Amino acid sequence: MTHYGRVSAIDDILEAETTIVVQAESGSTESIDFIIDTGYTGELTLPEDIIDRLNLQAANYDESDVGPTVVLADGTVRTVTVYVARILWHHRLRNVEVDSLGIAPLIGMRLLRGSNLSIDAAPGGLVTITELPSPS
Amino acid sequence: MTTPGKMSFEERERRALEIYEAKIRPLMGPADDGKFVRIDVISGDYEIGESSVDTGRALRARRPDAIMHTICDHRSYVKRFRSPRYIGRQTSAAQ
Repeated sequence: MTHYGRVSAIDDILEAETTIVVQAESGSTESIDFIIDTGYTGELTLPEDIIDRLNLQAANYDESDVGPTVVLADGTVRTVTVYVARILWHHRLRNVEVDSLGIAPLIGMRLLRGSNLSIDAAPGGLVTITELPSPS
Repeated sequence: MTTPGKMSFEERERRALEIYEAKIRPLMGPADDGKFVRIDVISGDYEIGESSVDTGRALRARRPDAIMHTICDHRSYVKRFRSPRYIGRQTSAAQ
């Protein structure tokens, strides 16, 4: 199973994108464009407005149970609210953790685990994410 | 009793890694790659599973006063955002 995407180029900034179907709490689904970010080690991020729209449920971390601590690119350590979502990934429904952060939906390395990622890094270039054979 | 939230991140991480190395790591096999290990750094109790959220809930149910830390692939599970971004547009999904 392969997810396809494209490299977008706006103002000469290249970003590798693919669309993922995310299930809202109501059961309805929405296709959302995500940027592939190999510098992010989690599964997915979504901006707060999309989390609100999908009415995703917070994972109920409390102060002593902050879950994974988040370290930003400049070294800043902070915590984020973690939500639970269900997505269609390699033809299967999968529960993922969604970090509420930023303004752009991101796909991180934990979601990509077990996949081959290929990017033709040019405007309009092809992006493929193909499931690797599972280790036996 | 230790009040939850009063322990620094560094102390919580240090205790968790100590407990992990002493009593959990020897039990971890190849089938556990990528799994989350949630450790209560007070009691040493722990949960292993595919979801950090579910392991956290299970451990919290058993240990209401737990101070938890997460380990994955033998390392402290800290999500990192290493990519500074150029800002200047919104994605179509954020409109």
